[in-house]
Amino acid sequence: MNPYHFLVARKAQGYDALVRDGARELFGVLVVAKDSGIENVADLEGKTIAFPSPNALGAALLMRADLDRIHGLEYKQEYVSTHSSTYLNVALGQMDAGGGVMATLNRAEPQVRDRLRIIYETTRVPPHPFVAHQRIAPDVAEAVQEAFLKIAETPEGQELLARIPMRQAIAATSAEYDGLHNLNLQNYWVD
Amino acid sequence: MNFKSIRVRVTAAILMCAVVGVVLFEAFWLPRLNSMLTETQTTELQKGITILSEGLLPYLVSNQIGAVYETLQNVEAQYPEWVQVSLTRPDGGQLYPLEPLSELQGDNLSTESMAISLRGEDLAVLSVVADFGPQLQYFQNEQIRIFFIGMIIVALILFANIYLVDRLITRRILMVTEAADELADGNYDAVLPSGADEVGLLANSFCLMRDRIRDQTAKLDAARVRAELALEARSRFLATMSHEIRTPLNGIIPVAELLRHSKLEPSQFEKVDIIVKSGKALSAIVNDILDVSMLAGGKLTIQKVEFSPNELVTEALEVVRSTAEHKGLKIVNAFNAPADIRLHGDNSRIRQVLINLLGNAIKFTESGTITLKGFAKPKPNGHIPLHFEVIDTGIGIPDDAVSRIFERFEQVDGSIERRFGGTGLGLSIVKDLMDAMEGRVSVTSCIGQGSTFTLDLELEAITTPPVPKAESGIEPLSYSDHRTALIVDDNGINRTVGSAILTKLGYKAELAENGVVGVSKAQDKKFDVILMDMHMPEMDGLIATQKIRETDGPNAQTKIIALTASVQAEDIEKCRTAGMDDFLSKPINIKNLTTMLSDCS
Repeated sequence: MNPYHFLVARKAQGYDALVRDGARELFGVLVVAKDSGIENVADLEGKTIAFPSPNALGAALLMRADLDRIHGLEYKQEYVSTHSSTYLNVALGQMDAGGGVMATLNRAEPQVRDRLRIIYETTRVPPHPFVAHQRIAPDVAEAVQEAFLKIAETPEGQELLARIPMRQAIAATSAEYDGLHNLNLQNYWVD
Repeated sequence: MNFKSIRVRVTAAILMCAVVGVVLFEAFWLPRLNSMLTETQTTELQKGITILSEGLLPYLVSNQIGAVYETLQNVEAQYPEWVQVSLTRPDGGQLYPLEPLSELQGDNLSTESMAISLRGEDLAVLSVVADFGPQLQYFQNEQIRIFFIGMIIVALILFANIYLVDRLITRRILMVTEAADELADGNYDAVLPSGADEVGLLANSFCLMRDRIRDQTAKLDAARVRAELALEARSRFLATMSHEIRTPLNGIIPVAELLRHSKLEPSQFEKVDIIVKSGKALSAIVNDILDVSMLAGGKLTIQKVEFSPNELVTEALEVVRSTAEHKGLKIVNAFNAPADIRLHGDNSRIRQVLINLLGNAIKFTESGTITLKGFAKPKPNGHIPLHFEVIDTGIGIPDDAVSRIFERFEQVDGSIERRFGGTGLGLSIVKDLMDAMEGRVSVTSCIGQGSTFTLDLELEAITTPPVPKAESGIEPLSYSDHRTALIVDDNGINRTVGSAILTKLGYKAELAENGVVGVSKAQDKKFDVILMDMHMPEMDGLIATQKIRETDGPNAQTKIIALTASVQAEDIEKCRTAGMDDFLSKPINIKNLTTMLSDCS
């Protein structure tokens, strides 16, 4: 479950985190065209920034929250549906900067990626948690958590989990996501 | 190769059509097909771009460049002939692809562009460069395949055609041709092609024609055989008639001559003289008829004996001299040849021709001169041209008759015959004899002034010196006593006449009525001369002569003179083979007999 969705679901229905990927963290990246001359976030004052969609966690919610709260930046937003559109818009000079995440940036075609430069990374949050509803008895939830982690101990299990993707399954707690809560992402959510 | 044969012509026509087809295909159809294909491809390209533009429009409006890229990449993957797809902003910036565009090279590249706009505002321009090369190449490969298949079809048609022309026409027409050639060689059964087509009809018509020719040829052959038999019968009839007429003449002339030599009253002498002259005239006519029948039957043979042209001329003139002088005509001998010249040829035939022409000249000349001109001049090759001209001062021959007078039974006109007499055979015999001796006779004439008959022939010269010949003549008759002669002849008149002549010449003659009696008498007694008829019942003259020569009897060496009415060369040869020494034609000419007897005495 998307960490932000988890926050909303925990508040509304009482979900608890059981397992998450311990090998990485979730954050957004701000890219500009390599030859654009833009060196930092402040250079983007009044410029146009592309995002895949308003509610994308790393690329849009975390980024917009940071730009607003930390940098107090005034800019125009363009939502271009997908990460690759974001990168292409920036690479082609259609937009001045774009919000994305490392995973999609790394998956972008080399000739696109080579034209981009990262100027900013957002606040890091734990990645997507595996969650259980409160109506599930705690011992059952615990058993599921143990079984999950047990799968991760075997090479076959590792392989299966890598396809989620989850590189290193560890036990997660709902408290680990409290920091996300403090970012007040609901202010940036677009319904 | 025969360039006029049907096979070659049809083949050439088909090949020419094929070549014209290939040229039209290559020069007109192929370019047309190629341009049609290009047109179609261009239209397809335009359609594709239009559809693609429509598809890209919403993405461009919402800046979904990723979707634009995905779409264009998919399109590029799906249409390999679209070698370059590009999207540019109205300001010229390139939206797709990321890399700068490369310059494309190729003969069959086609570029189509379309502006993508929304409510009059241009968002981007889509350009596609398509390469029709592979399509065209594929299409052209197919064309080459079609071309080769076409060529194979043409070749098949050609071979089928050659085969059909050969089987249906050429061979069968050649069969007809061969049958025609065979027909020319007399074979009426050559195989002909059958069938109900045109060639078959030709063969049928040819067959019908051949049958008709066969029938007509058979009829013609039969008619020819009948005609030949009839001609043969006529010749035989003429020969027999002449022979039969000559036999009684043989009785009349010598007896009349003998009678004329006896003591007679002047009126009696005159009458006997008429008998002699009439008899000789009749004999001449009969001889002419015999000559004509021999010439017509191709039985005349030209002999080659040694003779002197000077003597020949003298003899010929002697024969006609008395007649000419009787008419008061002058005979001039203007023949000019070396005195010792001797030739090889048929002297008796040449003499006959000369006598004939001289006789004619005398007959048609009332007064004046008959001249015999001529010469014999040796040529370097040993041949001697002999030239004679018989010139008279007679009535002449009209121009329109000159060409006809050498034809048989022709005289200048019918009235001549009544006025001058004669059979009209003389000049035709002259012409035939000259032809037989490979000589020429011609005539020039002037009405009222006379005619000139010219003879030309070429003979071989003889270089050996002449054999001296004893002088002989009818007067005076050489009487000699105690000489004996045997006359063998089945004809009583001939025996009597012969006996009378020999008696007149001083011989004591014994008679035998056939060969058997002749041989028996010859064995009993030696004779000075034997006159032997050739054709006799019981035993003919040839066998009798052989028997007399074979037996070592008293007359094994005696001179035997053949007597016969036939004067053909082969008869003379038979007589010589049988052992006879000389040859005398009937009726017996006293002068000739005297000459022969003087030789053996």
